[in-house]
Amino acid sequence: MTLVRWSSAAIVLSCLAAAIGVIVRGDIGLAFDIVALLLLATLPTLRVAMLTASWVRAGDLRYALAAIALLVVMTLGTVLVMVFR
Amino acid sequence: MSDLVRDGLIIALALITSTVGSIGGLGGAILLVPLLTFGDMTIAQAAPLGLVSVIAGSVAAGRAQVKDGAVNHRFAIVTELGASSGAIIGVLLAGAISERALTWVLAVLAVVAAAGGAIRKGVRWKPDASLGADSVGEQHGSLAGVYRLNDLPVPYQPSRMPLGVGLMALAGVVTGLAGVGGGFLKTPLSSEVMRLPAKVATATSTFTIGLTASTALLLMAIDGRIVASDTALVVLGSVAGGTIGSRLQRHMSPPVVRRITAVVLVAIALIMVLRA
Repeated sequence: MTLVRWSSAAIVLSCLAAAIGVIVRGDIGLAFDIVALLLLATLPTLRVAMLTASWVRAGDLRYALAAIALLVVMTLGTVLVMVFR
Repeated sequence: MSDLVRDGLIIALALITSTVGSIGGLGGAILLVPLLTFGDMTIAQAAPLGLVSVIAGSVAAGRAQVKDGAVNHRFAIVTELGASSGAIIGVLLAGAISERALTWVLAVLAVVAAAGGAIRKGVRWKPDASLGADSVGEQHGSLAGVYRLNDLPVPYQPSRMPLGVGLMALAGVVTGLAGVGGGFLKTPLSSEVMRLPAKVATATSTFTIGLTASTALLLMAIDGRIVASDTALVVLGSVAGGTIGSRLQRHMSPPVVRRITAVVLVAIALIMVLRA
């Protein structure tokens, strides 16, 4: 449920920032647009990090390791694509 | 077209495509991007907006889906390890296969996936009244779980994982080559090969495509391809669409979810062929 609470809070904040960005426009609006985007775009990865922490706490180490491996693969993939493309 | 009408149209398109995308676990980008290009946008401008719509729809739908125990995070992580590894190989090999040939391969795969879901009759996993409401969710140390269907707990156990993860990796290569999210392959693979219940497959796929899209969006941000003012419009439409889609899906039976997914998959195949 912590996951749902955090996600809900981030989504509400992101929508608020997006709405302000759409209404205000200009440099201030752009700043709110970027905040909205950052809040949403980091949420899926944060969700994996939170799952990893909760599985470590619960002693479910096999899946915690799988989640860490996924974060490593995603990071490595980003670096590889940046370097070779 | 005035700015107000253009902005309203982007919000409406994001809302509709994210609603459809989150019902079928397919993401809305594959529908939104071609629709945006009918206006004044190029594919290069529309693609980041498609990714934003996938992320926003994914996180918005995730709230309701996690509450219903419909997302199997352990299954998502294990299969995404294969899909992400495959996608990296695909992205690095991009250009090795002609775009036209690749589009036809994707279209055929989408139709095969649609047929797989539409042909199957009935419900594979049945409710178990002996289970309490507190049993809903994932099982510690296992890929099994229990989800809620019409307020009844339904236990399930995915199978054929090595084959499924292998096919996910192959799907990752294909989607990496084509530069698409791959929800339209992940959902049918989860439900028809690894035998996840249709609702769990769509909810789990909705989570994983959000992850893939966030990584792809980071790469586009580094390339300087994101117009922040347009992304705010897509955020508003897609968060609403993801929420509506997940609520609609809650009231649908698994065969209905499979059939809607099949119809959208055929539509996606047609869009791909027309674009090719």
